[in-house]
Amino acid sequence: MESMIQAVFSTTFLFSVIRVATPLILASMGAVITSNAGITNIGIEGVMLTSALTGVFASAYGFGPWFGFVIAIITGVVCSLAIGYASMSLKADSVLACIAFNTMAVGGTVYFMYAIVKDKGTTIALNSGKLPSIEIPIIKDIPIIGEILSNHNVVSYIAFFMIIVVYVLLYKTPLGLRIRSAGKAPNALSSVGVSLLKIRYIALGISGVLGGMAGAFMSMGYVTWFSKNMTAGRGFIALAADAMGNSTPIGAALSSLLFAVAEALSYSLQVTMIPPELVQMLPYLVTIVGLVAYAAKRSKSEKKRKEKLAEE
Amino acid sequence: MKKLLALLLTGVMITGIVGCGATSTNESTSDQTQAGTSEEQASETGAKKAILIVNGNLGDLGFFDSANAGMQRLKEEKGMEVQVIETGDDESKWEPALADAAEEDADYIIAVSPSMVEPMQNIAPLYPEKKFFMMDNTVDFESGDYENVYCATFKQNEGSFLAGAVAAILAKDTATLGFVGGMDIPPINDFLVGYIEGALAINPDINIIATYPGDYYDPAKGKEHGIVLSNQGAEVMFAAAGPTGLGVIEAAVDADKYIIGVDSDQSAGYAANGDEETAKHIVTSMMKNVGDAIYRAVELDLKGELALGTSESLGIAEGGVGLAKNDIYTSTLSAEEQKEIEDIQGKVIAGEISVGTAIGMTTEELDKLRNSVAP
Repeated sequence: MESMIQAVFSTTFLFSVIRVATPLILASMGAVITSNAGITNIGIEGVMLTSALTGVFASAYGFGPWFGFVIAIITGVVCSLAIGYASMSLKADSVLACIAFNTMAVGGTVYFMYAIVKDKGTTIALNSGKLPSIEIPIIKDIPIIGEILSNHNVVSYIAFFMIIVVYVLLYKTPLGLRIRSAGKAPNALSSVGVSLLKIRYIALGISGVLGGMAGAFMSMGYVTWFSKNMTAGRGFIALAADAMGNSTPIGAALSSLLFAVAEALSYSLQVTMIPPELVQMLPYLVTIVGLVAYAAKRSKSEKKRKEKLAEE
Repeated sequence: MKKLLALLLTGVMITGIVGCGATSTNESTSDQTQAGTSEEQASETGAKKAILIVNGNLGDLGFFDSANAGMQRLKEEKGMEVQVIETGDDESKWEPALADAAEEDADYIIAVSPSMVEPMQNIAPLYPEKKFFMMDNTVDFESGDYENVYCATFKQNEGSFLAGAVAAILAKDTATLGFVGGMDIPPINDFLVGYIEGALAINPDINIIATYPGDYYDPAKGKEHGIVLSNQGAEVMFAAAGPTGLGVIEAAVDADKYIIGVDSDQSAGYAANGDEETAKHIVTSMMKNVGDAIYRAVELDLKGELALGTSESLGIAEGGVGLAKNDIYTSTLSAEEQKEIEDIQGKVIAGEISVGTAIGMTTEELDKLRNSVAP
């Protein structure tokens, strides 16, 4: 019991929560943008995976990790737009297009990895770069808080910054208004002469930027190489975070953090006497509890709204 | 423009499909122009043909690569015609791939993964004239007529015993070791049991923390486990978790701890890629010499000494498992410490020490052992 408390209430635990949350936050911000625009973008997993690979290639054969980061973002945008082209312009079923893309990303990344590195497992053979970790000047000297908040990978800070960016974009800019109307009232958008298709493409493009960053973090921050299917379902967890956060940036970010806490708990609780199977269940248990709590809250507020309407 | 884009997308999709699909690398000794006559030549010269089914992909720096190395050795030293078929991870393709291989004009059909037992049991009896080798697991000889099947398993517990001994010698400050297993299942726990017993043989007060990410393909998760273990004071780690284990290696390097490689000489693998920093943290590797086992089986069969229809367990004595005693190993351990390991190895070979196994062990017994060394 004592070791359990030690494992949970330590600075290293909270430090690892931020690290675990980084790809989830970035990907869930991408999901928030697209679901606000009325698109179910389950292709974000494949986008992350593809960007992770191109980032590694670009940093190894190009001009270092930052170049790789930019290429990963560009890849993310191109992939997202390709999904959009298939599902919106060519009118393919969007879920099927996304599933096809995700499957293709798993096989395609291995194919290109083998073509270039002659290795089907990992790109360890490539001398690819790592995005730097950053010490924050004043905060790093504060005890406890400094240990938790300082010395993270630069992408982790970008991820938290992106929450603000996405919030401002969605609620404080004309583009955000258009993105939200593309989801809630597409006809209203068309009636004022704004192209629905264009707005949805822009939304997909932005989600591609965020997905690309998430992918770059996996292969150039978390670990320093690409390995087959290394995103391991994080894109889907981000989608769940988006759903649980009711497609709001703050809600999705908090849900991502909640998942990250559960995930990090499942790592550190394994050193205790609790059976590992039970601990591994935690992240999924939290997901279900979260979704149930959200659904309960929603049906209650719905009921209230109806009662209010009835009174009027 | 639209047509061009559509064409491009189709192209990308096709490459994707090709990437997913089974790829076959024909490593035949004859080149393309002679392909037509190679069969005749083979029968004339009496050269045998062997096919290896890789139910995954090469490039794992471990098990499959080791098997492939054995095949290449057969080609070079025995002049055999060899072919390697990679099926990818799609389980539905494994049995058809095995059936296709059996249809071919091959003498030996070799599968090297525990998951291939069922396909082997279904296909082998249909081709009684062919010889089937099953590495790292065994078919159920009781349940059918498998006269043409030879199975070899590896005493990973014996190899891990030595790994545990090395780890215990190196854990001089905290006397704490870490273990990361892909899943909490008997074949993986077999590594753990050997590791624990080997460490106890050196230091009876050793602490060992075992964790299970529950996933073989998530290196980021592996890294988190490695970080947790090193935060708990583990000085030496050992990971039996496939690509997830590569994340553990990275965590060990970041924390400047020792790590023991698995399945093949992983230190050499990293050194070959120019990553000396990682290579020097992998103090040794617990190797399963799958390639050697394949070579040994074919060689025995050519002499007519292979016991088909039976299963063999290859330990340290048979060269099935062992430590990678490379430069890193010899420079990290002192001469006395190396002698200590040699002594223990000698005792295991001589049968003075019998290493326990997790196969057939009940969960209660395993938990008791795990808890006895938990800090």
